[in-house]
Amino acid sequence: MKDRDRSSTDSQSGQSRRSFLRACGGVPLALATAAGPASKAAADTGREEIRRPEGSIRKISESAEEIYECKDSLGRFSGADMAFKKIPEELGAAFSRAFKENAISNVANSRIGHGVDVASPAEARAHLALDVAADTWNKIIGPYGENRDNEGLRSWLPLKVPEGMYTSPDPDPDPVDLAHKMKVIATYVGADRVGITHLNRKWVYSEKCLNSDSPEPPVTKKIVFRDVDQPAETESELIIPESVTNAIVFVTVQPRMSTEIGPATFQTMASTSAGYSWSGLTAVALAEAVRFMGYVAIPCMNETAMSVPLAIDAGLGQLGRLGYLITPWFGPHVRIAKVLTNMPLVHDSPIDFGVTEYCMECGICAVECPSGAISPDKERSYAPLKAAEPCGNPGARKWYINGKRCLKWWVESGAGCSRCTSVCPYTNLTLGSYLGDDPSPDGFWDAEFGQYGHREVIY
Amino acid sequence: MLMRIIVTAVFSGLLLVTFSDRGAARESPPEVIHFKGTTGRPMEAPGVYPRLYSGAVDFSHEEHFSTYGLTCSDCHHVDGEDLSADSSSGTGALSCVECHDQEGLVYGRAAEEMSDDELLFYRANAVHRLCIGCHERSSAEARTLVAPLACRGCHAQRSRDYTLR
Repeated sequence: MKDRDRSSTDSQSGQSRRSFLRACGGVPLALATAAGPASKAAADTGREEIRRPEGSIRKISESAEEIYECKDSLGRFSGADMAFKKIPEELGAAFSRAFKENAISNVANSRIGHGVDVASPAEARAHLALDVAADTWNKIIGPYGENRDNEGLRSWLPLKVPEGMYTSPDPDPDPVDLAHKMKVIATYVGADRVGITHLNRKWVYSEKCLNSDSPEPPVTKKIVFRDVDQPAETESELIIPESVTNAIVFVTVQPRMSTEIGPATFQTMASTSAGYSWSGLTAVALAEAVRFMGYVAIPCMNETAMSVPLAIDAGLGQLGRLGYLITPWFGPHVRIAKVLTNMPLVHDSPIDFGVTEYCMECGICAVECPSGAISPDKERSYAPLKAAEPCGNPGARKWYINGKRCLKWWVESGAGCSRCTSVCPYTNLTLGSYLGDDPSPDGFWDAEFGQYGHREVIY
Repeated sequence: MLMRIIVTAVFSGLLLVTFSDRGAARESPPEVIHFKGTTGRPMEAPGVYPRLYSGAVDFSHEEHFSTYGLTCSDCHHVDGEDLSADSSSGTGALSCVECHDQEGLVYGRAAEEMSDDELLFYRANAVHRLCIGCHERSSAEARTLVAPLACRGCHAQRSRDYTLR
């Protein structure tokens, strides 16, 4: 894969990011590399200096559970307590309806989001069309995944693989070889980084909420582990086989330029949608490959298990103040998906590249968050703010976000927000910045093709 | 009712007004009140970061009167109201700052550790509670978000510029 950030050069050394990576012997730590054209011109007065993240990637033995210093009281989180369920209850209306009303209002008023005007409703409509396109596969697959366990293309049972295949694994499997091949296949069908971990059941949701977008009280279905050969769903339970002990976790990078046109616009929505579409397609496709090799595969986007701690366990990054996974290769500018499986696989080690310490100092995301959803406190805590409850699972030491504030802002702005992801120094140092200090949607349609974020696979 | 505006405080860019009919002069309320952008109160606990930045707010008095049908007493203390603190200004007017005498916005975990009454001493907390509380009630009645709740909904914030060094 080529470097996306072709235009980025380091202001001090003139060294391209790609050549830096080569100089580092291929170690993909881009943290000390180019900040992109927007950042390198930033020595003016009146600007706040933020220390550049730096360091090296270190493999560690601690799991996410240990990194979070989890208390015994930490329980499995319920899909009924997700912010996407609580907002409809607080609004007294479906989240999707309220959001769409304001999005349509944006178009009618020649806006593409909060405070970002364009020339005409037709121009705003074109920007929304970008998101419609980017979101199409996500919608077909089952958007975002939350509380859509075992639905549609993310069925827990094979889609096209014949029964004779998915029930007949190799009698003498090699976990090292299988892990390598599954990573290659995942990358081939869309993943940008892949890691493999033991499935810690603490990160598996306790239940699925069946009426997530409804203001009515939650109706739920338990997610349980049983001694069965294949996943199943009954009237009251979603059943994962006890044998499913591994997770193949992967990230897909979102198009960068769009998230600069923010804080919450159709452009930032499109970037997120593209990330979801690619990750969803990849999860479905990878699951079929795992099944074809004779094993159980449960493809997941955001549903069934918490993606961030699984990704940490799989060595894909660390948790940032903003509540997202921060990877060393693409910062937090990614979407995560996973396939839960009983395929025997060798595991990756978690990594540490100084994110926790850096986030304690930085806090740009908290300052820039349009809704005040990100903790401004230096220290991590073991519980969300009371105002955020019940969203956020208490018992893990981290910076809890206020998901309800975040999502209300999405409704308010009529567009999904990406401010925290966009301003994160790890994003700027890995993916760069294309649009400078005053990003405008005007130039979007005429940008260089590569700046739209397409993967540039070397065929 | 006769009203006059008494500009009572300009501290840290936060401007508050109160109304009273006890003054001699008659003035109309300004159509727009400009709240200067301010850097929120750095949390006093040592080492806590960041400071919260809020851009300027142009509050439309006129819109809140004419479009939303608010009256003075919906937001302001007025004569006859039983206030816990008496005016000491000597003018007969109540000054916001006489009661809400702490600067800045207490936020995050620090806010959770204070009581509601304690938070009201902070002017920005008092104002935010007033605005957001009403916006929340209006939204609940409309069963969708009809008034700003998020910081950026009112604070026309331009991002700070950062230099990574």
